[in-house]
Amino acid sequence: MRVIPGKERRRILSRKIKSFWVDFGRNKIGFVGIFIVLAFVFTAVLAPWLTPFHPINDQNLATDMAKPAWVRILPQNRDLPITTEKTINWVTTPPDSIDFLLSPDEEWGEVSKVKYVGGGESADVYLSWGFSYSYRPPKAFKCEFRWMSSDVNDMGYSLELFLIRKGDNTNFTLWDSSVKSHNWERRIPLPLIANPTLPEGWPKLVQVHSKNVNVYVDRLGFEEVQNLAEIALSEKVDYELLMHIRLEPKSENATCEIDLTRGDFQVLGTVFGILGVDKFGADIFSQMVYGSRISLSIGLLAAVLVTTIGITVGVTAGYFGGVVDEFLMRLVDVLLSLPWLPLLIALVALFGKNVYYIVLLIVLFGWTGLARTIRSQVLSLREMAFIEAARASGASRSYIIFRHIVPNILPLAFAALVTAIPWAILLEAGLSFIGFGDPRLPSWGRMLNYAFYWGAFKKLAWWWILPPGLAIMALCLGFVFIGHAIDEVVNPRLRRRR
Amino acid sequence: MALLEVKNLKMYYQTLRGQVKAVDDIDFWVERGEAVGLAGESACGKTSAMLTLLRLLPSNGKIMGGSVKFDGQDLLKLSEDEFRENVRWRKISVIFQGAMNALHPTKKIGEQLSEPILLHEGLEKEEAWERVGKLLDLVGVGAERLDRYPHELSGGLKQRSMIAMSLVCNPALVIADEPTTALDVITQAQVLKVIKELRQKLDLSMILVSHDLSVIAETCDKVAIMYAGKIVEFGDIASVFKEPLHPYSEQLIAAFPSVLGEKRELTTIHGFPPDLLNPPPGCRFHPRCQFAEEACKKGERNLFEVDKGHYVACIKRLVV
Amino acid sequence: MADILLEVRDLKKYFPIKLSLLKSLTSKAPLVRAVDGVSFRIEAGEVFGLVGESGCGKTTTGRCILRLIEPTEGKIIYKGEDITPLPIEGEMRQLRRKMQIIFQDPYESLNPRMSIYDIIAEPIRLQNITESAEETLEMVRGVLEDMRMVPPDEYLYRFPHELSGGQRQRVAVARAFVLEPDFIVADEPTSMLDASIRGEVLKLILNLIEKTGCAFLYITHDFALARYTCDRIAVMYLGKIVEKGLTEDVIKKPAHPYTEALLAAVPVPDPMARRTDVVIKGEVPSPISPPPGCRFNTRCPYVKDRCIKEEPKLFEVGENHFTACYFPLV
Repeated sequence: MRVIPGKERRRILSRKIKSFWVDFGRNKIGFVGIFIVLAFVFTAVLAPWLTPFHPINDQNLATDMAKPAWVRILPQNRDLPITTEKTINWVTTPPDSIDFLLSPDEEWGEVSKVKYVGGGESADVYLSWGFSYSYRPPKAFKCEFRWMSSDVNDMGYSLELFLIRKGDNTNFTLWDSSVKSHNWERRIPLPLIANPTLPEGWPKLVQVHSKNVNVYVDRLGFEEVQNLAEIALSEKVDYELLMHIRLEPKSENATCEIDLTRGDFQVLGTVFGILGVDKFGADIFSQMVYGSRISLSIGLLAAVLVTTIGITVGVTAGYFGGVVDEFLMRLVDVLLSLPWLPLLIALVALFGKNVYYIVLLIVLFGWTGLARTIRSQVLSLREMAFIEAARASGASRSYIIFRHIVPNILPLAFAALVTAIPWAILLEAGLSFIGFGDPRLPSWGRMLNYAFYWGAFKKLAWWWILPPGLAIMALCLGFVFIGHAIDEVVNPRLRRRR
Repeated sequence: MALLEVKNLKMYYQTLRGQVKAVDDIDFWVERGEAVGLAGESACGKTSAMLTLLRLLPSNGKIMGGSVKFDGQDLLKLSEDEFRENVRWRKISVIFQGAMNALHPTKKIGEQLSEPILLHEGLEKEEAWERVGKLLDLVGVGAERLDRYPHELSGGLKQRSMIAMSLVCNPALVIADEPTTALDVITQAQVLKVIKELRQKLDLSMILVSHDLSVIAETCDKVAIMYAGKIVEFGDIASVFKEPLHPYSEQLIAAFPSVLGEKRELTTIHGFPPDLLNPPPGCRFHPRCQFAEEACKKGERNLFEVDKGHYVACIKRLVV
Repeated sequence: MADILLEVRDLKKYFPIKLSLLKSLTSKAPLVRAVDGVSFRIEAGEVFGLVGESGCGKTTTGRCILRLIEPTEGKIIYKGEDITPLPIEGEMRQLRRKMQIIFQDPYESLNPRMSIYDIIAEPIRLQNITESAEETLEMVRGVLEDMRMVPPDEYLYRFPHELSGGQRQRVAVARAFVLEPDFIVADEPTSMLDASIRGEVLKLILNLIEKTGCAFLYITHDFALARYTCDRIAVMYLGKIVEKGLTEDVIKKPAHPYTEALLAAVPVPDPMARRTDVVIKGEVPSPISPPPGCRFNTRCPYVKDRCIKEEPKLFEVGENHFTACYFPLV
């Protein structure tokens, strides 16, 4: 029904906004709050660009609960191993019976092809790759490559992978094509000499994890060691990865080709990233960054819902009074006396964990406070002369509610909304912390829950504990500052200028 | 020597936007047994002046200068403690505006009124209550109401109780800030009557602060008219009302209608009250004055005597 | 005699006191008899004053006439038609075009979040008077000019808190006059303004009354101001009219002891004036159980037996001068 010419309406609106802004700026704390909140919004929106890792699914990026990489600034930490990945480029001097070829492949990059061209004599091919290691002994390393056999006729073959420490020439057997290792490698039914029954032309993936290798140290005889990585890469010297391919032809016309892709050799650092990793090796910085999305969106969603319901109920109860008011206030009383935590426990027990349950709970029990405040504001507004003046001009009830009452409670409601957000954020974090959160969502509360459960508190893994805690606090504080500044603008005590 | 002599009193409020010159160099005095009315419209500084005299200013009110001599002693030179113990309520007391709302709702009347006595004079409770009872009789509330609670009394009775409370330590000077504004006409008449009688019986001196010139005309001996923090006219009630010397006084008096005499036009003073942050230079009233000339925009305005006991701060009267 | 625009016939308004749930089951709620049988007439173009102290029922009467409060009994007759039973959302809404109200408090009678333009335009929009925004704008400008708020465009887009008390009240008056009503109720329109501004606002109101020819009910406790503005006045006490007549008659020759006491109590800006000291003791009785007979008998200095036994009706004591007293002073 706005008949006012558009330009004038915009003028009125811009004056309102300007005057609000001036009042808001009186207390500098409002700007501090806005700055903090914007910083978090920024990280939430730009999350995928700020970190390449998935917060939960990308695991094993470093040893469990590895510290942040920048602790290496301290001199005593200079040589802590960081996660490094190197590409294995095999080099070899093949014997005469072998043709060695490096051929590019579309899918796998460069492939080393070892082709037997001899006439019946067994051959040993040694492919090696050297690297130097200049950190402290790591807790784990990984090695990954693919190999393929093709054109196999009358040939027995085996592959062995060694790690050789150049300093004292100790070597460690990492992998053996005849050995069945734990989880990664497929079984290769062996005998050394028979025709392998494996389908040809099929690249097999080999993933060697130092945790899963039984170490046999040559010099000392057979000795099983738990942490191969620590033992093997114990010195800051040069190392060599050696692949020994043994070919034993059974006839003169035996042929065989073994193809090896480029491999990856990865040392899992004991430090990683901006904020380290959690128990599963997932990047904590990623969790922080994606977690801000959770906190902000849940906080905002819950707060908006709470405010909407609160305003509706408050205005209805306050304006209509009588039976409606009584009924709604009793409803508020009932809701306030319901035990919400047992209710949540029951929900979760019946239907499993779901983030929407948390939102539902927050909203269901949160609107009552606001409804009461708004109701009392409406009660006093209702008696004001300008409402009576509108009635004297023929205003209907709905006109008065929407044109007079609501605009006058909006400032209060807005301030309440801004204060409801940190409350919702805290509630969500708290509920996730005690275990009711959705484990698939990387919320800060969940981080704290996992940290607690997996012993980070015992280990004083501050990089896992402090960031979420501080972030929750900072984000809530930001909103509280904004709410405080808005409150000073909006508070009727200050509005009255006589 | 006058009982109270105020000279060059200045009090400014320190605000974020600057200094609000609420009381800007005022002079007036109160003789013994006399009632002086402090008249003016809203934001003229009369309430601020009164608060300054009692040193009940808010934290941002600063006394910038001047002297307040009570019985020869400069009150502004006293420390806060000395003022509180010796002067406030014992020598000078207050009746506040809407004082009926200043009564403690869960204390009996007798209790509240005897509090100042017990605090300042250290009498026994029975003696204090006796004195309070006598005062309540004096104001027409009656000693039988000592045991009542405030909500059991009507507005007029409450206000009269506050008057009794102001007299409880036998002060020499009572400052009344709009004592009857919140009351009905008839109740107002009753209260003013009580005040008049008390003044006669106890030989009280009084400062009555009010925006209602009619009330001042009925009760006071002298009147000081304030505008924008300054006193523009001061003198006997009869001379000021019969022959107001300042253009503002003249128009203000004529803005009050009367039920007696001939029906006449109500005057209006055009323009707006001045901004006390940046008051107009020279005479504060010159933007609204029909007689203003160039000279009115310059210089300070202080009261000077035109007739016997009749002072004005308007340079046009210098010629007279 | 000019047309009778409005007649109030035996208007009564009782407010039940809210009892607790338990008590309300056992006993009837006591009634506050705020207005207890009030009758008067107002002519077109006349300023009629309703004078009395607080609690006498004058404000309630004003609101009942506009049906902002529903009367308990009695009739309101507007232009010959009984408007008391009209439905609020129906015909009454139409009538609201021609009946308006001005409130006492300039700070509360304007919505702090609406611009001056919106405030004054609200009656226009609610009543669908104009076809276009330009027309509305012109009407608003016109009434602002009538209130000497010029140039009007400077005020249109301001908000109430940017204006002084006097300006706000002028906006409230402008809003009341913008639809050129036939009848306006003003409840203490200047009591919260400074003395120096009162005169101007009242003068502007009187000008507009003359210009539009509307009838004006002026409710006040200030006898002196009523004298200045009103053609006729009625004095109310405890829900009843005790005296009514031409202003000068009532003021110069009060017939009712209450009027006399009221006039004697009003302070006068003349220190030399000789005042009669009329002694009224006591307080106003409670409107829940008013005294039997003449309501003023508990405080009247001239009380006689008859005053306690029967309640007096309004008698004529002079030309167009009525009083409800068996022993009028004139």
